[in-house]
Amino acid sequence: MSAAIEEVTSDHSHSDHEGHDHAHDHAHDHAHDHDHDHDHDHDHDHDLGSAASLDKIQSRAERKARKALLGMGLKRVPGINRVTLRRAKTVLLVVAQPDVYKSQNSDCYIVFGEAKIDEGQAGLTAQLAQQSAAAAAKAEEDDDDEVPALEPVDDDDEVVDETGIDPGDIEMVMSQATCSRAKAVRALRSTGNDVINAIMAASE
Amino acid sequence: MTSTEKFDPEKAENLPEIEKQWAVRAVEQAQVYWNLLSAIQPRSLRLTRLDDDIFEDFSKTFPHYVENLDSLRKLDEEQVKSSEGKEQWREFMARYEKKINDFNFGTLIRPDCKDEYTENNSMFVTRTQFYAIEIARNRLGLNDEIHLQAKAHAEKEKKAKAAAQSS
Repeated sequence: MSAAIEEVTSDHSHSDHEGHDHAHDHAHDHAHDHDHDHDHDHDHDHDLGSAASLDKIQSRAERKARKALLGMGLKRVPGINRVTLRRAKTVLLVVAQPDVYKSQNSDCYIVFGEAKIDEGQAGLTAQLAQQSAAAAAKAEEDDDDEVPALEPVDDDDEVVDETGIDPGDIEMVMSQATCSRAKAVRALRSTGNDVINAIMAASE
Repeated sequence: MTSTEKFDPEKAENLPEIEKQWAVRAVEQAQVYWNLLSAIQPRSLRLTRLDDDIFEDFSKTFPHYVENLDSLRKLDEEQVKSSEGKEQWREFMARYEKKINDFNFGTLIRPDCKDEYTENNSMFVTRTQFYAIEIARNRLGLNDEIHLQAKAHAEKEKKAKAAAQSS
């Protein structure tokens, strides 16, 4: 904290309140430009400051992910206050104050921010959404190119519990969807023994 | 849109392609059902685990369909979609809200059970209506005829395919 403290004039020519888009071109960087007491907060990693809006990021993984993305020529989209993702019927994932980047030559958007589930959902749907939010957050912070495995790997030899499921239904799904017995059982279970939906699920 | 333009969230729109996804699902569902009809004897075809309940409830709620099989053979779209019919169906459907997956999803049904799904012979109903009507048709043997037709057709196609492969 004892760095040479000259009065910083706070002429953040490029600063932008909404996006925390500070330009780190000089050594001292106020978190708030109307904060004029000398209690500077110099804990930030200034060497990372070459790209915009890296200063409010907490996790290392996210920082890495952002850097990699910025290197791919993404442009920041300004003025977005909220991104809402709609899953299933009622499940809403809301990202407030997100950082949104757009790929320059395709309709691909990258959204950074904390995803929250819209309140007032039934317990089960909220739970599902939470899981997917966790998955999304993980995917977001994961700077590998790997796609997270969402479906269990289909193992034909797997022995699945068939209690409560009609063997005739299993045969029917297997023959119509040309899938393994295990997959047919899983599909029937997840659709509540709905044969048509199970066939559709198993043939995907 | 170039990325430097100010993005206005108020004017953001959903892609029409995605909005049309329900239609893709509905057609897939119809195809799967059609395959089932051609593969399985309709009287022994079971669609959900609630078939018995649905059939019983349907017979009670809409006795005219069971008494006059012709009205079940050939659905009167006007009647189903009249304000009175809609009201009856809405009450019926409400009973299955928690029991049937996708109970109110858009689904295609054949108004005339003697014909396959064609451009003229498909009608938009909800999943619950589809089950109620098709379960009744299957149990009352109204789909037997189309089953034989579809089966014959499927066998013919299979043979043609086999012939094409062997030649």
